[in-house]
Amino acid sequence: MAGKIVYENVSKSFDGALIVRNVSFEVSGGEVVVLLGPNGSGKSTLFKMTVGIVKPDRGRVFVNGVDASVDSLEARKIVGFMPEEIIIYESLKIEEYLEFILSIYGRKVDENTLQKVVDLLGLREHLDKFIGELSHGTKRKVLLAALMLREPRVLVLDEVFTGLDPVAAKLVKTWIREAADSGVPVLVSTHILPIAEAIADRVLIIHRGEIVAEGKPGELKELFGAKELEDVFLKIAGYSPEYEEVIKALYR
Amino acid sequence: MSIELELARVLAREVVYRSRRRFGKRGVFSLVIGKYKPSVLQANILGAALFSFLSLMMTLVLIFAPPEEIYPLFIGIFSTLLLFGLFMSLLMSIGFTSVYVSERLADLMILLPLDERTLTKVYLLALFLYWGGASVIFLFVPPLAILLFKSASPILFAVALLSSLMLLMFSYSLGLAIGTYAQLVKKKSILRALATVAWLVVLLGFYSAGYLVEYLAEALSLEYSYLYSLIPFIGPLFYQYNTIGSVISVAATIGLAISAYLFAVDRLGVLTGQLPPAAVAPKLVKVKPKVRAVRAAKVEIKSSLLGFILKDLRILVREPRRLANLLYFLAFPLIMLVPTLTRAGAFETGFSKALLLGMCGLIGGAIGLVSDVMYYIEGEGAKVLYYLPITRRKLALMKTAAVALLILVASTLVAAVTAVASGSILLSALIFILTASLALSTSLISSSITAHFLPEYPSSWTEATVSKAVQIAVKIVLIILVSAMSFAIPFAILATLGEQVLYLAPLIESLVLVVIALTVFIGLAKEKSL
Repeated sequence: MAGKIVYENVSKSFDGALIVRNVSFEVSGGEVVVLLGPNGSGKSTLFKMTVGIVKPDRGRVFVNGVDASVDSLEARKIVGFMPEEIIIYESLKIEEYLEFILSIYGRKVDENTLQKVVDLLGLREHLDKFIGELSHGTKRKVLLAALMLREPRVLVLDEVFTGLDPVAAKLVKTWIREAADSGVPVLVSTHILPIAEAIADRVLIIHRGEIVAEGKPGELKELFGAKELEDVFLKIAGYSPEYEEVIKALYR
Repeated sequence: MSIELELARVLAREVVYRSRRRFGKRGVFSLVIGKYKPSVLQANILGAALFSFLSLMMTLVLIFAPPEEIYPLFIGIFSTLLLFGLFMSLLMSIGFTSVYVSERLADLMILLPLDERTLTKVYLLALFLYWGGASVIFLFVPPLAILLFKSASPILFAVALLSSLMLLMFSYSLGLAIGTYAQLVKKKSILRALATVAWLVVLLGFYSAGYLVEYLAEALSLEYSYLYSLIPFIGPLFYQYNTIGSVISVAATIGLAISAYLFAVDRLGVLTGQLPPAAVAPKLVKVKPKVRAVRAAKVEIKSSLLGFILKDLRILVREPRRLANLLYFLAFPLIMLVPTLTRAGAFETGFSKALLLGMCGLIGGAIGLVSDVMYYIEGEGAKVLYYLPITRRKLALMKTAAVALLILVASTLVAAVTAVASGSILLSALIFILTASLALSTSLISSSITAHFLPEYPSSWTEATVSKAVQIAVKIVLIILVSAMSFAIPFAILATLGEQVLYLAPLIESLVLVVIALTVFIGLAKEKSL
């Protein structure tokens, strides 16, 4: 059965500042939706709502029919969540971390699949190191390996490409596509716009907590009369050519 | 304020912040050291006052002593102070340096346009002036001042001053050098074991300081003064009893201080970012490059409970300081119990048996209070748990289960000592049931309360996560509850039903506390996600 992520009129404020304003959208099974937006636009807040870590002040978020703020436990069983920051046990080794995560989910893993994932992500040479000794990108690969082996029914990936080398990025793109093709709804955020364009079935652009544009990458480009997705993003984010003059002046 | 002093202030603040993020507030330790204060005076005044007070209390006797008794009294007191100073200054410098190194603060410092010499100066100023390092000096001020006041021998004054200065140079240098190996300790299991033992000694020294001082004051009697004169740092003080021995120890003292200083200088590169933290001396011989065999990844999926316990135990054994803390609290009650069990007549009368049951119950209850440590070992990793399908109830249970293995080991030891001392297998079995069930019960209660008070939003867990007031209140209430039950039930049975049925007491106690523990567990550790 294909899954679904549903945001229904969601709003959230922190310390009196409205971070998310009445956001509604859906991600259907088999679809890759990329959420674009400047820093602080509310992407991560929206993402964390899918596992009930952040609860909306108004509105509801459903994952496969489960209200994440009411039954966050069930939501966490369903969603494969990759937070923007690296959250991991640094004093464990890679196999120990995978063992812990997979044991918590009671997920048996096929020996062959395990070896392939470890090889593809280039983790084999790091097996005897503590995770704390690994580079930022390699730590993200460990998190990815855990997610890949878990095969969650919903994927929510916040800045998943940050710090990845081109090979790993290519693998992740393929993995995302395959997951979507098997009926998994995938919600991704990234600041790497060519990647967004390559993987997105649909793009949402969020600015100051509101969804301000939505459509297929081609549709958005046409709508904004832009050659690249980057131009669409810059227009929405209010980028001005005057900024370039200021920057250029710094070295004069 | 000079730029070095300002940077030292910022560095000390950063070390304190990082230290608290990892370990939280550190109880008694944080009163004296590792507490950030914005001025040199504020950073040192509390430590200086405490050390001066402690020292003054010990040395006050010198003021009233007749002149001929000053020398023998002084050397006993000053030797004890030297040992305490060694302990405190090692603690300070290792603590500061290990946080600095393991948090990779050198990586930040080298970005500043400062040369190696200035960076070293900044580091030392931060350690001494803003971390509280300078306050140790005040341990030696009262006795030296009294010597001057009493116009005692100028040689004694000079020797005491030399010993204290050399000791400070030695301990700060050694502590600094040892601290630079902090990252290597994480990697090497043998170093982790050594570090655990070292922390156990530190804990034993700190919490048993009173006994140690008393013991040392007695041990340093003049009967073996010819031997003491050969001990570095202390030996020079015994010059009147063995002049040659003292001269040798003066040389050894200076030699040790200089060696430690050179060792520290050799490791300074780690602090200034010139050497990697885990650097080893470069080998001059040609070595074959290691070919690491490619091995298959191995992941064994277990039940969530077993997977969680294994994860906890793995983290615990890689944290020497917290492991030592846990082992100390498991071992200390045993150490307290052994003299009672092994004294003559411990099992003869009903009264002594009731007393023994009471003590074992109390010890069991106290052992269980260590379960909090299993939460604090999570540190930054605790944030992982917020994304997993784990309820607070399951967490409380898993943390108790993780510490249960250690509780069973401690209870078995108590039972074994009882069996050997009493020759009664029945009594030993009852003691095992009592100790284990009370320890598991208090552990579950403590764990449920901690799980209840954990933050709702992903956070790292340290000793500071749950309010100190709650932690202390929980411990006090549990100790009172366990003490009351452990002594009241056996003595009530003894008084009303007689000695024959005294053996019912452990079973009743266990049952009552298990019921209380389950009630708290169900009431506080809710079936809701973190």
